[in-house]
Amino acid sequence: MESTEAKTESKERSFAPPPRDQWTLITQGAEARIWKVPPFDNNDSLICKERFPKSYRHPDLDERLIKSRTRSEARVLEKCAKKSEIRVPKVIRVERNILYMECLDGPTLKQYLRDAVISDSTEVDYKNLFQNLGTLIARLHNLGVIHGDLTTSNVLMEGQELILIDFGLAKSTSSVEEQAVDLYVLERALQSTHPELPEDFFDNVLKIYEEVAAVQTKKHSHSTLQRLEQVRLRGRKRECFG
Amino acid sequence: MTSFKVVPTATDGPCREDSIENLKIPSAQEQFKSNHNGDTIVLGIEGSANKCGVGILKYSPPSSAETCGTYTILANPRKTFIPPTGEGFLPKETALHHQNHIVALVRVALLEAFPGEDKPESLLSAICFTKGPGMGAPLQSCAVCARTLSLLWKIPLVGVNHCVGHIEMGRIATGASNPVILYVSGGNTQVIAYSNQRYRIFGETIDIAIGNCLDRFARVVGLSNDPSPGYNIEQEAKKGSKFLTLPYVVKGMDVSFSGILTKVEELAKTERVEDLCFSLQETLFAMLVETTERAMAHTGVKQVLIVGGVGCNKRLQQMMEQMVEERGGSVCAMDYRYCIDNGAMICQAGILALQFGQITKLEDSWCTQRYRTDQMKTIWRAP
Ligand SMILES: Nc1ncnc2c1ncn2[C@@H]1O[C@H](COP(=O)(O)OP(=O)(O)OP(=O)(O)O)[C@@H](O)[C@H]1O
Ligand SMILES: [Mg+2]
Repeated sequence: MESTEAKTESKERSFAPPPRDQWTLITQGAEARIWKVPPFDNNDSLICKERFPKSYRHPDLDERLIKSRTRSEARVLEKCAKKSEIRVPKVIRVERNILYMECLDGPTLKQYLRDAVISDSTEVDYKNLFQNLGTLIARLHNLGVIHGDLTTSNVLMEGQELILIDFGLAKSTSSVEEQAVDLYVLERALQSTHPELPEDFFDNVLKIYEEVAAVQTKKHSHSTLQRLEQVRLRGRKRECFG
Repeated sequence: MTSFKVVPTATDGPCREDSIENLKIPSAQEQFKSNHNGDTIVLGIEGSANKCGVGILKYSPPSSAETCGTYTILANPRKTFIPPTGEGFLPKETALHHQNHIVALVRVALLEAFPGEDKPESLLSAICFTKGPGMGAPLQSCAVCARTLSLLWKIPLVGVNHCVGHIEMGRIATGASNPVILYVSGGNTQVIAYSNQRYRIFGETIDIAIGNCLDRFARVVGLSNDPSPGYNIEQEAKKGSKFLTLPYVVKGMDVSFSGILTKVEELAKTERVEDLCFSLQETLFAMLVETTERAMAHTGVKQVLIVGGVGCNKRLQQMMEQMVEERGGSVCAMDYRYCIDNGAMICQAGILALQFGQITKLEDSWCTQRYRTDQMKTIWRAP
């Protein structure tokens, strides 16, 4: 923790973004506003992700969530950035509730798939997609990180390359349970948001996931997939009590 | 039959069918017969958990002056099984409770709906019943009653998904055509949104249900089950002030409560009950509101409907309202017609299915403890 603060300090003098009225609000998500900050000093355009307080929750809880999510998002992004094979936006600066990061182009995967449904001229290369997605998640898990919110809004597409964003619920862990739940969240997100995907799409993601994750340890990725079975079953069993 | 005292249970006026933007009700109705004046009336039986209810609901087609038909609840009596303090409701005892009350409930419902009518059953077009999800034995007890009435009165059965019952009654009662739905009850915790003829589950608990979590906590600290453990926790929480740190576990739109329960049980040894209740509610509800907000952001929907027993909690409603207000949306007002389990809500989902030609054959009238919300095809909604 101390080291992060020290780093922020040292950057203090050099970090002078243009005033707020020159920023553009890109989106307001569930808990954060995403601003585009115009180029300044030696920086290109930046993305500013600003978590804002939620009046519905207890102030202590609010403070705790905003702080810990911003901090852990920065930490996990930095951890991923060290591995060149996982593409994430580069962190520029961290404040209590604010994260400045590299601005990336490209639609979200959700937008891309939606557009493809509407235009029906765009042929989606599903094979390429499940390969990239399976590989990406496996690499993330191999690194000892779970994302915590694997939805198609949290994946950007730069050409055919996938970039993970939104690590606010991410955690450093190699727990089989956490990895299985990570996959379960993705499975459910695909089902509820993209009923148009081929039926075996997620199975194919899992196949690739197992292959790539197995490079690390075969036993581990196998138990993650077994645990996924259990997590799914828990989902259904729960319906036992009206 | 006249020996029953009728206490009015249906006090709400008719609801306009067009407020919920369903497909137009088809005119050809081969599967069932309506009454000579064009009304369609169904009886519905609910008993998936500790409440046993019988509802009677009428659909009146548009008259020449109007453009739109209406649904009206004619009767909706109910009995609740309340176990002693420190105990939960078990399937066997709950089933016995329902078996004891179901016949009387059917009779008072008919009396209230059709006062002075010699053959009230002749006015019914179908018997709707809860097919699941729920506790096996109580569900079975009610289904046996439904099958018997269907055979006796020679009218079709319509099996209903309990959750869809909550949702359809919620939509018609509030006129919310397409809300994000937070379904919070003893056995269920789901964030739901409609798409392509199904109510899709966007988020849910990955371990225990919210109501189950509250009930179990109430038992640990010795709060009464009367009128409900959740109600008593809410009252205690009002007196609490110290916010204790509990785990907060949100994964995407899914939530997990088991860690909180363990922690709060541990804290129960040293902390005051009111502070425990306060912190528990604040933490649990913040998780629910957060996941609902995520679903809203994800789907672009501005309206929220809370259904299920836990939806009666004032603090949850208040938190939800604050969140939704900041997003420029609205929360539908709480209403007993769709929050607490009852027969009329089973009628509402059932009559829609019936009107679009979906009936349940006797051999298919089994119940199931597991019946996911997205398994029932909502043929009455636009694809
Ligand atoms: N580095 C980036 N470059 C370009 N666009 C981005 C970047 N980060 C975020 N965005 C855009 O902003 C949207 C929201 O960002 P993000 O998912 O981080 O926030 P959020 O969904 O509000 O967060 P949360 O899910 O924690 O509430 C993304 O879907 C994407 O379109
Ligand atoms: Mg996001």
